[in-house]
Order: sequence, then C-alpha cells, then structure tokens
Amino acid sequence: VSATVAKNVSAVEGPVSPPRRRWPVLSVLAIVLLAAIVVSFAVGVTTSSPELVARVLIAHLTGHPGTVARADDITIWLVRMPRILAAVLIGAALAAAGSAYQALFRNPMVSPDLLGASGGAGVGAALGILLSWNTIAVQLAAFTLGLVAVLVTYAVGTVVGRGTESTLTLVLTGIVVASLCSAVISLTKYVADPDNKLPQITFWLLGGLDTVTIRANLLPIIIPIVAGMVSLFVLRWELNVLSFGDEEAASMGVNPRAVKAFVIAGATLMTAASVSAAGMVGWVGLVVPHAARMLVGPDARRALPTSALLGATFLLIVDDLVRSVFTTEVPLGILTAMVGAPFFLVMLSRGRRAWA
Amino acid sequence: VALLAGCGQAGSGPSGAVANTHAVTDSTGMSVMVPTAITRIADAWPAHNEVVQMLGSGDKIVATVLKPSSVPWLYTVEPGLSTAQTVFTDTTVSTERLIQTHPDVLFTDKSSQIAAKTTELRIPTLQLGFETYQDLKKVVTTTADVLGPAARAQAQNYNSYLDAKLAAVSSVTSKIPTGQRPSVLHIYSLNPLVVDGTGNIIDAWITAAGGRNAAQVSGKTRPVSTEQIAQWNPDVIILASSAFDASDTGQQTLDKVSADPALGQLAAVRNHRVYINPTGGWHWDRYGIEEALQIQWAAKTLHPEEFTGLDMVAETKKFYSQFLHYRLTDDQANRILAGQNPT
Repeated sequence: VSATVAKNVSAVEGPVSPPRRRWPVLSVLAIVLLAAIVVSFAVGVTTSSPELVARVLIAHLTGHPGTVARADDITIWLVRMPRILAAVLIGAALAAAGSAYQALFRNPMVSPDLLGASGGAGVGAALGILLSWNTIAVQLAAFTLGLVAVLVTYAVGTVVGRGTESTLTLVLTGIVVASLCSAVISLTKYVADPDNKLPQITFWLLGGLDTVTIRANLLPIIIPIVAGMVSLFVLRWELNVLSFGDEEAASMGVNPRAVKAFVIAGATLMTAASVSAAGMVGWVGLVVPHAARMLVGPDARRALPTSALLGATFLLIVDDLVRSVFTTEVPLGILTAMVGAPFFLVMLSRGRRAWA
Repeated sequence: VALLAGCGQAGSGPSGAVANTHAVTDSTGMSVMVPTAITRIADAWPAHNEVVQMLGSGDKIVATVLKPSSVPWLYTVEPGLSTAQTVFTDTTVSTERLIQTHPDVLFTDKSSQIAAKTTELRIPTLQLGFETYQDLKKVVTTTADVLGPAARAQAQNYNSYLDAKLAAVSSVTSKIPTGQRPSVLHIYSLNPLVVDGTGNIIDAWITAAGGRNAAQVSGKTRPVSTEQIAQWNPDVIILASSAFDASDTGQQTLDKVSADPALGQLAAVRNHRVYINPTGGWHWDRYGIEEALQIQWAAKTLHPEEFTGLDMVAETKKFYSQFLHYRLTDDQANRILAGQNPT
C-alpha cells in the first residue's frame, strides 16, 4: 500500500500523470447513474412509457403543461422526481462520507455515523416528533443534533486524549456518544404515544423516501451536502497523505489536525443532512466505499468520486425496488441492509486485497 | 415553485378537485379545501374507516390502511371495502399506489409526515384524532362536513346517541359510592405485560361505567411488571383482544390467565371476574365509534345488578343496523360481544 500511495504522492508533486483507469471507470459510472435516473422515472407501480415521461418532464421544464393525465403528471413529477433526486443526493453523500471516514480512520469497518452523526440526528428527530413539531422543524432538529453529537465526540475525544485527539480515543468516544444517543432514542420511544407518535419515530429510524417533499425535505439539505462534498474533494490528496500516519504527513507539509477536523466536518455535514431528510438509511456508507475500492483501489482521489457515483446509483436502484416491487411500502433502511449485507459478504470473500 | 403550482391548476383531472370546493377545519386546526362531491376516499387511520362507513360512504373507500384480517367485522359489515387497496401501513405510504386510486380526500391520524407529502401531491388531507368523547364527536362532525349533507344528519344521530348513552350510564353509576366501585385493570397485552393507565379514553370508559382504573400509571399501553399488578390487585380484569397470543381464542386466553402462577393469585382471577373485551368493526375499548357500546357493556359488566334491563345483544344489533347499515344475527352479535371473529 505505501508503495501505491508513495507513487500517487509523487504523481501529484511531480508532473501529473493521471492513473490510467481513473477516467474510464468514472465515466462509465456516470453513464450508469444517468441511465438509472432515466429508467427510474419510468418504473414504479405501473411502468410509464419513455414518451410519457418525456412529455411530463418537458411540460414542467418549459412551463407549458401539456395534455398529460393528472395522475400521470403527479406520479412522475411529484412522486418519482423528488424520490430520484433524494436517492441520488443522499446515496452520494453517505457513500462519499463513508469513503472519507474509512480513509481517515484507516479502517474498513467504519461508516459515516462513526462519531455519532446518525445517533444525534435520531435524537433530534425523535424529540421533534415527540413534541409534535412540523416536518421542517423535525428535520432541522435532526440536522442540528447530528452536528452537535459529532462536536461533543470531537471535543470530549480531544480532552480525553489530552490534546492529541488520537484516532482511537476519537473512535471510542464516538461509540460512547452513539450509545448514549440510542439510549435517549429508546427513551423517547418508551414515552411516545403508541398510536401516532411511535409509528413515526419507528419509521424515521428505519429510513425511507416515501414522504420526501422538495420544499420541506430536499431544498434544506442541498447546501450542507454540496459544502461537505466540496470540502472532501478539496482534501482528497491530504487524505492519502494521512494514511502514512500523522508524523509522516506532518513531515510532508500536511497539518494532520486541520485535515482531520475538516474531513470530519465535511462528512458530518453530509451525513447529518442525509439522515435528517431520509431517516437512518444504513449500509450505504459502509458497503459502497468497499465496492469503490475494489474498482479503483484505495487512492482517495479516485475512491471518493467513485464512491459518490456508486452510492447514488445504489440507493436509487434500491428505492426503485421499494417503489415498484412491494405492494405496501417497505422502509428503505430495511432493504439497503438486506441488499447490502449479502453484497458485503461476497466482497469480503472475493477481495481481501481491496483493503490491504 | 410557482411553476409547480401553476401546473397543478391547469391539470383538471378525473376527480375535478378544482371545480367546487369548501373549507373544513381538521383536528390540528388546519383549514383544508375539500371537493364538495366526494366519490373516492383514502383513509390512513385504522379506526376512522368505520366512521366513514357509519356516515354512509364505506363503499367509497378506495385506499386504506386496513386489511380484512385486521378488522374482519368491518369487512363483513361493508363487503365493498374489499375492493379498496391497502396502500398505507402504520408507518409508510405507497404514494404511487395512492395516486392511482384517485382519492378526492385523505383522512389520516395526526401524522404531519404523511400529510406534508400528500398535500404536496394535491390530495386534500385532514389530520384527525381524539382523546375524549367530546373530541370523538368533533371527529365525527368534521368527517361529515367533508362527506356531505346526508352524512351530517347521521353524524348528529350518532353524537346524540353517544350523549344519551353516556348520560344514561352516568346517571346510574354516579350514585355508586367510591367504596363500591371495583378497581379495573385493562390489559392490552399479556406477553409482554402491557396495561392502559390514566388520561385516555380507556380510563374515561372505566370511570363512566362506575369503575376505578387500577393502573396507577399515566398514559396508554404502558409496560408493567407482574409484581406491580399484584400490588394493585384489581377486582376486575378486562382483556383486550390484542392480549390474545397468536391464534388463541378468548377462552384459551382466559384459561391461560387462570393457570398463570402469578396472575392466578389475583382477586379478579380467583373471583372469576376476568372478561374479554368485545371487538366489532373496531376494538370497542379503543378510539372508535363503538365506544358508545363499550360504556354500556362495561357498566353492565361491572354492575350487572344495576343494569338488569340492558340487553347488550339487542343494543348491539340496534347499533349496527342504525349506524353501520348492517343487520346482525343474534349469533353474530354474541360473537362480537365475546371478542370472536366472524365465522
């Protein structure tokens, strides 16, 4: 591994010679994602013809509503379109955050909720639902507490680690904070009204895109997700350097503390935003980065965009299954786990070398 | 956003939602514009489907949260319900299926999450709920406001019936001194042990029927320990049908309670004062219109000597014919009273 990274580092420092497989893989994945998006507009409880989909989309994009039946119009524009956007955005965010964390913590078992982002968001959402807040307030509470939980982890981890914020202390503190959050969530479930509050909290904990709306759920998360994504992409080279260890990174002119803080901030923004809109959708941030590394290797400069594209495609396809295969809506988090877990095992058995 | 709104106006659809509408205020205080003519109804609140049936529109339900196995009596009373699609679960909604049923209106319990989405889908959505008899009547009236003039008359009939029965029962039970009011434990689930505490409709009918709630906890469906129940040592136990294990009948459940080493020691069990709660189109004991029958049944069960003139079989048959548009046989009425499913 260190040979690979050294090569990559020298590639950046010296004359740039992009790794050969980089662009073909990314282009292919981008085309696959685009194709998945197009197909997703057509599949559902009933299949819509490409012509009908095109008519609805053109009508809305040009502002000239055509002669499309109302039910078709609503199905394609107000049911499928928000879900497709949400799946792409959230899938990409969770996978990229997971990829960054796995690189930062040099551990393939790490997922983006490692430092308590999902747990904190869960507490926020559960409390919001318990207090009968409206959807926007619940989402805001989830997002805010997701950030707060990671801040607490980071601050406590630094104090406990006596200012060194060693990776191990940080991870252990994250586990403690996440457990505390899950205890608080259990408490809210215990006191919640079983007839109307409890089902909402349960739904939220399993994740789902069936009630995602553009205005209330999607618009608020675009900025944090884009901001997080940009910060990770800016730092992708530093992430590689950090994999040598903090001292080596420092000797190469990288401030490990600053990079860690920025990567954690970026990944947390994305995770908290995703979870606040879609609930706790598991496995995406754990499995997809593995698949990405199998395709392009551990170099963060390639693994990060590959993860984002794969994550978007993965969540989109799983949500298509949720929308079209089952007669009643199954929570998304259940299906990502049922698809993701076996996939993970197959990858483990095949590619132990993917993470050396 | 303006683009979205503009397109909705132009798309005059099969339901013609734009044509004639009027405002109805739901239980959250929100004013919702609903079409004047309602022909297709979606209902995501289990207990509320029976309200729609009572108000004469059960056959107009096209999308529901119910399944025939969950409320077999309601499907017996209104066979038309079997054509409705089950598009809701407790926690989710299949939005595409819902759209395909072309509902004119959606009734849901207080669930801002579903309501936010269905409102975006331009389905007029009313969030309803009640914790008291007063609010139960309000839910019935609000539903009738949506369904039209004939429904309004029926809603008034029901609300007067509920008032009259509450008054009749209370006029007898209010004279019973505290010392003679049995303590009543309403068990929601036996395994794990879950009971209904104070501050809800279960507590309300126990009190109205001349009992005292034995459960000294606040709220509904609260987990408790056997020890706690032993300490309360209720005079009467009422088992909800949700307390039956798997495919057990009420009788089998009663036998299990008697055989249980801990529960078997309770005064209620030794004195054979354990009863199965009736279940009809909805559970009589929980949040439905059959609360009106529940108060009478509970009063007669707790104080049989005071209500000798009350014939629950006849009363149940009368209620079903007047309010649910279905003529029960004696056998059917007896099965409902015993918490049994239709044959």
